[in-house]
Amino acid sequence: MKNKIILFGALLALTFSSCEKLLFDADPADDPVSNFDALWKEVDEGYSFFAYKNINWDSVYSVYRPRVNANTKTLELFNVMSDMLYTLQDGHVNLETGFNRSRNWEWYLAHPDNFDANLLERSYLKGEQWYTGPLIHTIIDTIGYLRYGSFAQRFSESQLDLVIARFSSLKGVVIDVRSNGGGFGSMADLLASRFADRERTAYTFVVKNGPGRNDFSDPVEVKIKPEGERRFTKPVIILTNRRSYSATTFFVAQMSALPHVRIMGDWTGGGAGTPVGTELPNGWTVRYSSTQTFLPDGFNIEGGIPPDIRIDMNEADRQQGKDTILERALAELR
Amino acid sequence: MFAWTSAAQEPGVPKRAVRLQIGVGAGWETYRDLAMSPLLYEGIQGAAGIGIEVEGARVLHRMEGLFFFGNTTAQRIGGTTENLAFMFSGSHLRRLSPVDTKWQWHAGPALSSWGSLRYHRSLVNSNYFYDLFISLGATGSVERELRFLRRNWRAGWQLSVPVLSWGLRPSYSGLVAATPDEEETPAPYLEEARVGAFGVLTRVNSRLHLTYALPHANHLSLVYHWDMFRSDAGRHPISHAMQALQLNLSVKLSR
Repeated sequence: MKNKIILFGALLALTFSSCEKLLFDADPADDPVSNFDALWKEVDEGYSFFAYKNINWDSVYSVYRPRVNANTKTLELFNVMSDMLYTLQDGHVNLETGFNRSRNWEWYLAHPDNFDANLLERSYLKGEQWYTGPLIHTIIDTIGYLRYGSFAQRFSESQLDLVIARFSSLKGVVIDVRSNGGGFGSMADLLASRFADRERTAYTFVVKNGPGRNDFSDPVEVKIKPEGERRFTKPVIILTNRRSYSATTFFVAQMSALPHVRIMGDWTGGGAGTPVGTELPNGWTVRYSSTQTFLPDGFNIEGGIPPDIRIDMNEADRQQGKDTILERALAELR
Repeated sequence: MFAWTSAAQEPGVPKRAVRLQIGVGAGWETYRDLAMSPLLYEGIQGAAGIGIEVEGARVLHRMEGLFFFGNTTAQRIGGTTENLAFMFSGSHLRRLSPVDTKWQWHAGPALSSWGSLRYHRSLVNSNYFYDLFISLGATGSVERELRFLRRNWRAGWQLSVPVLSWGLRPSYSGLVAATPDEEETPAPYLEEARVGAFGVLTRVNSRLHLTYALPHANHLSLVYHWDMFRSDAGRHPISHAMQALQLNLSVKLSR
C-alpha cells in the first residue's frame, strides 16, 4: 500500500510535467508569409501615428504583401519588410535581425547637419573644457557653455550640480544638444530640473493601449519641476539640430515651457513616440512608436519642435572657424 | 504512532504545532507571453522558499513563499530572458476526516499570489514584462502516514484552484514606466489591473510532498510544486507553468 502511494505521487508529478505542454498552443508557423503577416499585424495594432502621418496601413499591406510568398528568401523578406516599415517615416521603427537593421533616418539626412564637433573643439573649447561625466562645459567670455552629446550617457546629480555651481555667476548659459540622438528620459528630466524656476506643465502624452486606431490611454501630464539646491534661472539658449532626437526632443519640450529659455538652430528631429518592441515568429524583433506627445498648445512633437530662432550654420563662417549658431547664441546672451 | 503525527493523535504532544520551513530547489518555467513574443520560452530556475505551518487538532494553516530566479530561452531562436518570480500562498485547511483515520482530508479557502518580472535584452526600450495575480479560491488536501524503506513518512497532495483573481499585466507591449505619475507611485500601473473569474484569469496550483520525521518533531520534506496560470484578459494573453522540486527543512518553533 505504501509503495502504491509513493508510486501514485510520482505518477501524479510525472503527469503534470508530461501533460504541461498540452496547455500551450504550438509556436506559430515560421515561414515568410507568417512572419510578414505577424509584423504587419503587430504594427497595425500597436503603432501610434497612423492618423498623424495620414498613413493607410491596409493599403501598405496590399502593396507589399504580394512581394512575399512561401519561397521568399531570408534577405528578400528582410528587404520587403524594411520597405514596408520605411513607409512609416519614423526613426523609432526598426526591424532587427542577426545580420542587419532596417531604419529610416531621413528625419535628419534630408536636412542640414548644423553641427561640427571638430570646429567646436578647435575654435571654442580649445582644450579648456571640463569633462564632468558626459557633461562637457566651459566658459566663453561671460557665458557658460554646456555640451551634452547623448542622453544615453548618465550623469549624477552631484555632477550636474557642479556644472550649475560653476555657471551660477554668469550672465547666461548655452546648452548644446545638437546631434544628441536621445537616450534616457530620466536624464532629460534631471537636466531640465536645474533650470526650472517653478513647476510648469511641459507636455502630455497618450499611450496606444488597444488594437483599434483610436485606442489610446487618457492623456498623462508631465511637468517640469525645479529640483536641487542650486538652479540656473537666468537666460538660457538651447542649440538644436535635426539630430536632436527622441529624449532630446523631450528635453527641449520641457525647457520650452520656461520663460527664460529660447531654442535656437533647426527643428529637433522629433521621435516623440516612445517605442516598444516584440519578437516575430522567426526571432527577428521589431520596434515601433507606441505613444504620442503634445505640447500644452496641442502641438504634436513627433515631427520635432521648432526653434524660437531659426538659423543654419553658414559655410563661410565655418571656413573662418566659426559656428554660426553658437556665435548667434553667444551674441544674444552677452 | 509516528513521532510527528497529528497533535490530537498523540498524548503529550501539544495540540498546536508551529513549524518554520526553509527550502531550496530548482524549477522549470514555461510560458508564452504574447506581450513579449509569440514563441514559447522555457528554462531552469533556481528556487528558494520559506513558510510557516501551523498544525492543530482541527485546522492546518500553511503559508508559503517561493522565489525563483533564472533564465528562459526560446528554443527556436535562442532568445534569452532573465526572470525573477515569486509565488505566495496562504491556506486555511479544516480537517474533514476523523483524526484516527489513515487518510486525512482537509479543505478550506486559500489566498494566493503570483508575480514575475522578465527582462528581454533584445527588445530595446521595452525590455521588461511583468504579471501579478492575487487570487482567492478553494483548496483541498489529502495526507496519510506511511512506513517506507523502514522509515516513517507522511505523503500529501494539496490542490488549490482560485475562483476570483485580480490580475495586473501591461496593456501594451512591455512599456514599463510609460505612465508614471509625478510621485512615481504605482497608481498608473494599478489602473491596468483587472478582476476575473476562473476562465478569464485561470490558475491551478498543485503541491505534492513526502515528509520524513526528524528528531524533536522536526521534518525534512521533498515538495513538488506545479503551478499554471493563463490570462486571456487584455491585449496580450499569457500562458504560464512552473514546476519546482524543493527540499524543505521544517523546524518546530512551538514547545
